[in-house]
Amino acid sequence: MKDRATEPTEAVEADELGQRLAALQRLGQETLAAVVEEFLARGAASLEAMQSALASGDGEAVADAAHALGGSSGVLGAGALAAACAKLEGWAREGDLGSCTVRLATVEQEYQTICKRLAP
Amino acid sequence: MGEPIRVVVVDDHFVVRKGVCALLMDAEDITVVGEGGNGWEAVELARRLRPQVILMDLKLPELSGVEAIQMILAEQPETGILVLTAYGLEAQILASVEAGALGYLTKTAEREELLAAIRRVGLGELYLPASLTRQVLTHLHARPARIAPETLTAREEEVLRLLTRGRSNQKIAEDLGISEITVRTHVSHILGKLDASNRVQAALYALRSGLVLLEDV
Repeated sequence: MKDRATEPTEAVEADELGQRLAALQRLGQETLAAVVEEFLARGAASLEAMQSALASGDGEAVADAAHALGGSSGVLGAGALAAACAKLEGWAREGDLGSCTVRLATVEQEYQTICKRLAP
Repeated sequence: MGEPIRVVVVDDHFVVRKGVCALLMDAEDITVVGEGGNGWEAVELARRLRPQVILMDLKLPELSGVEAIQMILAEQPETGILVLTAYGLEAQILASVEAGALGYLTKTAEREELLAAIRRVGLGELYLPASLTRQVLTHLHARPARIAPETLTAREEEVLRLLTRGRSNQKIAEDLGISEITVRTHVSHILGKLDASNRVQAALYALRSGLVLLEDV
């Protein structure tokens, strides 16, 4: 279940993401396309890195990958994904890899939601 | 309206750089003059473009954000550094403030908050979220004062106390019933006497010397 005090609702999330994409579009259609392509490529790589690091018990690597995805998603207005990454990063840095395993599923779910918005 | 605030954006992620540029695009008083992808580029851009504000990530390749901040401020102490990073990295955030960064925001910050932070830092003022201010001050208060300043006047001490509490020049002027220009002059004298490159370092002196108690901040 989402923490409603800290994570945006889906409606607000979609609106914020839409506004940020519209702003990027004003920088140029090519820029918007490049940003989306980069986000999707880097996001997929970050998720793979998290899965791999979690499997090998490398908490710092999990945290670093979550940090990278969290930063990009935050700037794009994908608040729920950024919040999920932040929690994952926090637990990973504390070495709580059990909680990370559960949270990673949330990160993947939120990432897929954003992917559908970016590349419907 | 005067000249727009000249901003450089430094982050190793293209998505973040362009996302920030998009957020700033419609602000008439802010203009992005350069973008960099690592710490060395930040130093070079600062040297070449002389921005008033640098939006700086901390996890940068080749030269870290904190190292870049130290190099930039050593050459151009008037540059306002606003750290923009994802969640966490408290140790690096504390190190960046100690290195002279004037502000800190997370990458999830809303547009209006980002604009407000750039405007404050562009004026040489502090912009730290309340949640982080106490943590930063507690961390830095534990360290002894390293400088032996000239004696401050009573008025300068008053200004320094208010500055340490995060008041802007405008608020200090209102509190003391003096003009903002006079406040600026006092701040300039304080920085000179304390050999401080910015308001953060002056505030740290106030805390370390006991002029301001942490409980009062």
